[in-house]
Amino acid sequence: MNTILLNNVAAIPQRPANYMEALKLIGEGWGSIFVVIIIMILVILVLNKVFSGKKK
Amino acid sequence: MDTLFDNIASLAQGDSWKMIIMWIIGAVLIALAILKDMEPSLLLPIGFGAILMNLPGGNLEVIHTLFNAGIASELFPLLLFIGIGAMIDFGPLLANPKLMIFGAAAQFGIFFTFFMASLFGFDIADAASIAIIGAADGPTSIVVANNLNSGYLGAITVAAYSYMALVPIVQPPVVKLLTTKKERLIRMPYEAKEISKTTRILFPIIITVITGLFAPDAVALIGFLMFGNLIRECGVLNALSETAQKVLANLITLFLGLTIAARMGYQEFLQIETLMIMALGLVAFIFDTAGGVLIAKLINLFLPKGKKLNPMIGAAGISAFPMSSRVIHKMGLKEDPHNFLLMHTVGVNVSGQIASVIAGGLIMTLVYHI
Repeated sequence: MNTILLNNVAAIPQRPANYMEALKLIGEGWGSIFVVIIIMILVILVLNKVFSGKKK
Repeated sequence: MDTLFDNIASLAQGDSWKMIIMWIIGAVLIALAILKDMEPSLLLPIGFGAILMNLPGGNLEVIHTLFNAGIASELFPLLLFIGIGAMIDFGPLLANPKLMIFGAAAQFGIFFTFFMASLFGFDIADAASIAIIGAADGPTSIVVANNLNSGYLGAITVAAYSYMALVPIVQPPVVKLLTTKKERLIRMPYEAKEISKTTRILFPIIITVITGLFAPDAVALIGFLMFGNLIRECGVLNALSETAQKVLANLITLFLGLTIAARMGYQEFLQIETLMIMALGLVAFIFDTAGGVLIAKLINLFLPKGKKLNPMIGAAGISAFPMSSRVIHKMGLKEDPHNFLLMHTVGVNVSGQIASVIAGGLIMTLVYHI
C-alpha cells in the first residue's frame, strides 16, 4: 500500500458509522448505482437504435 | 539432530495450537475444493496457503513479496479482470438492456451489510470492506478491502469466494421465500436479436467512459474488465483474447489464492471478527438476492398482464457469474420444464458484474463523505 493511499484511508473516521450515517450510505450508494445503470441502459438503447440497421 | 525436533517441540508451546486450527481450516478449504468442487481454483490455493503460512519458523518472505507486488498494488485482481472481461459475452445484456436494472437492484446486500457491520461495531473502513463481500466478486472484494486498508482481507476474501461457491445453496430458499408459485411459473419468451459488431465494440469503451465520469474509483476495475471485453469483441486480437481467457486468467488465479494466504496467519485470522465476517457475508448474499427479486416484483406492479417478468431473474443480478444465472434458470425449469429463463438470467448476471464493480467504486468514494 502506498503512502498516498494510507493518507487517504486516514481521512476516514476510525469509528463505526452511526445509524443515520449507515442509512444515508444505503440511500446514496444504492441510489447512485441505479442512476449510473440507467444512464448505461439509455446509451445501449441508443447504440442499438443507431447501429441495428447497419451491416452485422 | 535436536534442531530437527525443535519446531515440533515448539508446537506444544504458547499459541501454537492456533496454528493447528489453521491447518484444519486449510484442510477444510482444500477438501471443499476437491470433494465439493467449490471454487476449486481459489479455495484450494487459499487452503494450502493457510497451512503454509502457519508452520512454525518457516521463512515465507516470498509470499509477502507476492502480496506486496500483486495484492497491495492491486495488480493481480486487475489483471484477472482482463481475463474475466475476455470471457464474458455481453450479447444477452445488449439484446435486452432494460434487464440491467436488476444488476443495480441486486447490490442492495452490499449497503445493507454495511449497515449491519456498523451495528456490529466495525469501523467505517472495515464495515465497507466487509460489505463488499456482497459484490459476489472476488477481485472487487480484494481491491476494496486493500484500498481501505482493512485488517480483515484474508477473512473477507475467503468469505467472498466461499459464498460465491455456495450460491446454489444460498439463493434458492431466499427466492422461494419471496415469490409465489404463480410468479415462478411466469414465462418470458426470448427474442433473439442480432447485435451489430459496432455496438459490441463501442459498448466496453462507452461503459468505461461512463464509469470514469460517474464513479471514478471504479474505473480501474471496469477499465480492465472492459479492455478484456474489447479484445474479445474487436475481432482482430483473437490470439490475445484466447491468452487473456485462459493463460492470463489461470496464471493470476494460481498466484492470487496462494498470495491471499499472506493474510491468513493465525494472529490475523483466528479472531471472533472472522466468524462475524462470515455471518455478514451470508447477510450480504441474502439481501442481494432479496433486492433483485423485490425490485422485479415492484416493476411487475406496473407491467400489463402477459408482459410481466418472472421475478426470479432479479436474483441473478448478483455478480457470481455464471453460477447465479444457471441456478435461477434451473429453478425456473424445476417449476416448469418448458420455461427457459437462461438468456434473461445471463443478461441480468453480466449486468451484476458491471454493477458490482461500480458498487465497489462508489462505496470507496462514499466512506470518505461520512
